[in-house]
Amino acid sequence: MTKFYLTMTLLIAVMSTFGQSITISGFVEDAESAERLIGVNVFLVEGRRGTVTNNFGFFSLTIPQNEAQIRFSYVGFDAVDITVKKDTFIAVLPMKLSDTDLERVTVSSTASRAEQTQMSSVNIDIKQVKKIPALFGEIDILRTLQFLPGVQSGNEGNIGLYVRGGGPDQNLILIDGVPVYNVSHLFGFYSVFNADAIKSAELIKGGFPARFGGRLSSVLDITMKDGDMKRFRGEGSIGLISSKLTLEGPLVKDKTSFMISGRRTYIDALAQPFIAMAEPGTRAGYFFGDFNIKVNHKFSDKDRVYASYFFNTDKFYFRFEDAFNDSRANLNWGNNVASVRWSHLFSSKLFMNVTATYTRYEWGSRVQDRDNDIDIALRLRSNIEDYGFKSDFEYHPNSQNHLRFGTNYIRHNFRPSIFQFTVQEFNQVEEDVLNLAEQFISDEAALYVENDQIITDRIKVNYGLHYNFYRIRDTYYQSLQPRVSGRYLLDSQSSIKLSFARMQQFLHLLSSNNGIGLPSDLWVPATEMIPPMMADQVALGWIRTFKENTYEVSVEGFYKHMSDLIEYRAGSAFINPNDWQSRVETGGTGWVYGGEVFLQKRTGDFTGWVGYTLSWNNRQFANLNNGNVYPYRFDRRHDVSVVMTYDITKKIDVSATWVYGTGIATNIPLYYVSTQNPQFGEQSSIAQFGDLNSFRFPAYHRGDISINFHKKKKKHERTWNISIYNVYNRLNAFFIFDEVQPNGDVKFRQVALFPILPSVSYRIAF
Amino acid sequence: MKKLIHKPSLLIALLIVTASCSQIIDIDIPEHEPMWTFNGNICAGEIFYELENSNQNFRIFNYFISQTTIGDDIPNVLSLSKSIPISNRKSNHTFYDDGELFIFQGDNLVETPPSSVDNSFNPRPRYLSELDYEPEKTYRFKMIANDDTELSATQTIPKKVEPRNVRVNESSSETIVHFTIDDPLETNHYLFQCHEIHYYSSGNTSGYSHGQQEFNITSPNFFWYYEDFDFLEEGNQYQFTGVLSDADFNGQSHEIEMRINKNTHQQGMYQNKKIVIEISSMSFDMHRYFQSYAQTIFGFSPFSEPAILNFNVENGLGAVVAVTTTFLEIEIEL
Repeated sequence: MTKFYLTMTLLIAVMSTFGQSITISGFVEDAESAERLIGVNVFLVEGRRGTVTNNFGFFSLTIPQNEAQIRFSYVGFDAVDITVKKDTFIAVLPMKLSDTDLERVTVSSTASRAEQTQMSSVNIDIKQVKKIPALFGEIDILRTLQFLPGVQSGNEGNIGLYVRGGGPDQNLILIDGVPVYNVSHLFGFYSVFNADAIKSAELIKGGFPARFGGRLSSVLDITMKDGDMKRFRGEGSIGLISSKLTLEGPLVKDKTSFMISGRRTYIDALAQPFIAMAEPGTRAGYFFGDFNIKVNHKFSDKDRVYASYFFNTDKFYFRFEDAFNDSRANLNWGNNVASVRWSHLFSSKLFMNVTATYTRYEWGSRVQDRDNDIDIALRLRSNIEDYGFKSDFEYHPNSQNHLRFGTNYIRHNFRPSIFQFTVQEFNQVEEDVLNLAEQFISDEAALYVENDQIITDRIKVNYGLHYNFYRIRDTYYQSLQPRVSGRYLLDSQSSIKLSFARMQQFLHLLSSNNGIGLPSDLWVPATEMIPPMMADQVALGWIRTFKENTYEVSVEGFYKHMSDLIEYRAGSAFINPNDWQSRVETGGTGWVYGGEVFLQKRTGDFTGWVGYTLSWNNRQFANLNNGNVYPYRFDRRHDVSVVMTYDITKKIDVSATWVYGTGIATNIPLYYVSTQNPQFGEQSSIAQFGDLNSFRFPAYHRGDISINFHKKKKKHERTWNISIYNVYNRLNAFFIFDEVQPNGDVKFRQVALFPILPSVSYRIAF
Repeated sequence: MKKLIHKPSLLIALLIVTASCSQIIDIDIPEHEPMWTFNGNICAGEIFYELENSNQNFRIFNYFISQTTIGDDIPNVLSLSKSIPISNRKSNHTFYDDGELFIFQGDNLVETPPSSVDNSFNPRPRYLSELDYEPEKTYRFKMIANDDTELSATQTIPKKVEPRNVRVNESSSETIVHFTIDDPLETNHYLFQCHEIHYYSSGNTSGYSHGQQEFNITSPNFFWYYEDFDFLEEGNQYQFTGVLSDADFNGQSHEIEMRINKNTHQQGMYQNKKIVIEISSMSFDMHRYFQSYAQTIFGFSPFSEPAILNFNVENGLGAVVAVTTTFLEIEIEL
């Protein structure tokens, strides 16, 4: 580690000797709340040099001239122009929210995305997320991400992200820099992220910069709001199934602020009287909730500390009791995520952020049944817990280079499955099977260095290396992962981009292929027997912006090869108490390839996008499907999404979305075959699926609409939202089952979960 | 609109009713075209173990042999049938006797087994092969169905296991058996079973019987085809059949340590001081078929992963697979 820092110091010294120039650096904030702004374009008005603010609102731009006009632009805010003649540090550059009327006629000039080296990425506009129709009116950022090309959903209603053919476990989902292992509420219908508590979100699908590692398919970097430094404010909503409240404000004005946000459903309270009426003696319910808190303190213009904590839980319970029986069941899962970050500016060119992290995910279930004097109990539990530390440095040595380097260390503690089965008769224990699955402790460390370099006016390249080291007991794995992405400017508005990234993942998610949608997937580590997964992805794209970036169109093709994948062994079940390592198939290979088209209108009254993905997604395991290649469960040939938002007036906006996807692959029995039982050689008849995942659900499509009525009052603004989910009542399949008819024939039927679902919610901001 | 919004109770009631009506609709699936299915277990080596010095001719039969064919010669059984579309659940499989079966050793035709009904308990047409299959020889099985469809499968009969350096150690809780086997170059899997033989006497009836013993083999490649779910399935017939892969010792000699749990020994065993270990060397195709069969049978729960039978018949469905069996008799301490 010391060698790494010495090398970086030497590199910085060498790069600093480049020619004469001036440097402008500082922090950009929202003038109203002093919230640091992420992703603000900072660029020369005359010329093609520019940068964007990082996750802490910091920028540094070195230019090879003595005087320059610099423009700061950010969608929804008035652009700011300043002229600099010498090295300048701006402790706070405030940007004001645009007047809505003005924005409609004046399109702010922004740097073109065509100029960035990063490809296959998208920044989510939280304001737009809040306008898009939502299931039961519950705004969800992950559901919005599913409308992007290259991002697919799983089952009906599920918020799992399948990015360019990877599974949900292959997404590095970070909240304030800390991984979140399970992002689902209500069996996957909602995500755990409360949109009111989120400041920004960026999704990277490919061309991963070297600073990210540990997952194969995507990075979703979510930053919580810091809290208003200027004044106390709040935001809340009441919906059909949940309510939420967010409060933020200064603890010490312009020095310390807080943000606190909570959400809870009341499905249990609403349903309880009906359940009691229908089934006397029965209590059952379900609720979920989440809670975010963040405090940040500005020690000086150059030092700031952030502490954040995020907690979420889901709980399902059932109890039936009478004179002879007492049956109980519960299922619960949740995350605890915490981080403390210190950002420090060493100089106008060198920025540092260090973070201490903690994350824990746990699920558990208990089923107990007492029938007279016999008491049977089954308990299942699984958890993963990480402690980590990371450091990230950004250095802007000259006008051509933007260097990033850093380290990351995580100690993982896995308890993949804990199983207990107890039988008591007349209070005597008849059977007690306790399988405390082996605890696995592993260490994961990473070093990275990357540079964003301007080669010529047309060519800019981001290149880097990510080194990973992993230890579990006496087994070590390491890898050096090259990353490179570059753009060639065709003109000021269009470019061709190319990227390659190798990614390695040291943890696996053992997922059930039967699509039952329970939060029962087990996080397990790479071990002596199960090597880490690896993926290589190459992407080629073209991007063009029109009318000063109002419109953007991009086309990308990609190919991803994955190795050392794992799957549950055929016929096994996650509730089996046996060692999980004996229940998996290893050494699997996956191929995903396809193309994506994205057309977006970014500003004006009418905004939105159209996305289309054409892809093929296959897997191969020696011991599955006779060793033959088979389609991944979420292989979708075509995936289309349309998102439209229109501001009719300042007080009313409407939006509509439409999605279409090829039906997901599944297994249903197609025929009976006569087999020779290996024992005694007898004949028996067994139902067969044909090839694995050979049957397709009917195509999925759905349209949603919503309308928002805003009204500004003296001290607050209220919004009524009316949404209709599945507006034309398409009955999409949630699962398919076979049913024997009275005449002996077999019919297949599908269950459609969500018919047309209107909802209403009330939001207030003060 | 305003009036509607101001009547939230009406709206909520309407929404709850709407939301709770998940719907079930019929869907059509493509009709399966019935396919020819050709099956056969080819057993070589020892067909049964016979208790020595017994006046009662007590036998333990090979795990894989078709017991409906047990007689003086115990032939191998092959069959020809057709798959049935899932929608036609009430139909039974039809077994065909009008196909022609040819068995080749190398390029030489060595047998054309006729079809027959082997006994009244199992009146299905079958093809009974009387051939004495030789270990390490390769056989091709060709079946021509009545529509001239040609199905075929090829099997090399696994080498017979000849355990050597057999040693037995006893502790109060375990009988530990060590023995060495010489593994051929082909990929094999060894299926183990452990039997104890006991004498029973009840009223006017008495005689020998046998039970299966729990055991474990201390080798990293030892596993069970059937997941150990015995707390759900009392007396699961499959829980005493363990399998050892030769992945670590392919083509080499390998010492096996088999630990037999004494606490489960039945009382009768002590009268005979005998346990019998059944070792079946399975071809790779047999292993793949058997494993997938076990996974299919085991996959009874809605939480189980889908399992597909691994067949090896070309141009159709089915598995024609081979094993070679050895019985090892062990004298133990009381």
